[in-house]
Amino acid sequence: VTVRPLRSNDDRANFDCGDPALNTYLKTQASQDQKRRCALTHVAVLPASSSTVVGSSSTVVGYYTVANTAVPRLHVSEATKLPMYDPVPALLLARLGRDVTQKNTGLGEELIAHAIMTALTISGDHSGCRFILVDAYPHRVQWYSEFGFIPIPGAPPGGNVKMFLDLLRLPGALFGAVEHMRKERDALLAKLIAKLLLTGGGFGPPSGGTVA
Amino acid sequence: MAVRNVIPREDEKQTLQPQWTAEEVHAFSEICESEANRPIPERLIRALARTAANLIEKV
Repeated sequence: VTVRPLRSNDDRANFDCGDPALNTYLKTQASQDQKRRCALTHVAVLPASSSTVVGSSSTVVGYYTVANTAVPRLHVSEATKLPMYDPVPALLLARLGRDVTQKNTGLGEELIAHAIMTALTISGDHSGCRFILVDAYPHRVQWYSEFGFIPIPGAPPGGNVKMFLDLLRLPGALFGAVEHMRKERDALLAKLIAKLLLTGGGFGPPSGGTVA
Repeated sequence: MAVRNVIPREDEKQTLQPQWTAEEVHAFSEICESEANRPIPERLIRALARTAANLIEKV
């Protein structure tokens, strides 16, 4: 299984994680949110078979959706190790689902680990991000707890439970791994750009755009 | 030319961002620091290690 950003031709028609709202979101809303830059959906797709035509659609068997968010705080004081900001920047894990055919395969675990790696990459490489926030169904609280998410009391009766993971609780070695990936990727990109420039490969402006 | 009203009714609005109750804001403020040193579960460490290894392999 490969996890990567959703593509418009990914096959989601038969996706069923057992939750109608999560199914509908993936099939009808995820692409729109992505085009509008409101949220990004990462999908787990099955490896292409040897007979698969290049460019053909991949079957989605799991996904998660993330967006920027901010966590409100009271009691901001200098006596805390937390930043003096209210709210504090965070990554919202807005949706997560895996197909029922993938039950007991570890795919859910892989998706949540991938989401956390995404947050680590953002906080280490792109923008401020201290927490991961999830608005969990009550019956999923235990599952998220097993990955270190802490429930926040005070939800309405029967409502979703907000849970958070402080990225600073994670081992420094993970940040090191992300840094390693960044350097490798940057080196790869630099080689690619140099090759394209040297061979006259065009870098035109985006469709309809202009170069300042 | 007719202009379609695209403003949804309250009951039609979809939310991506969670709404916070006052109790939740208060509770988070109380626990966010006290929980800062809680150990990370072994299950998460193993899952992250596997994912990091896979990602590095694909770079």
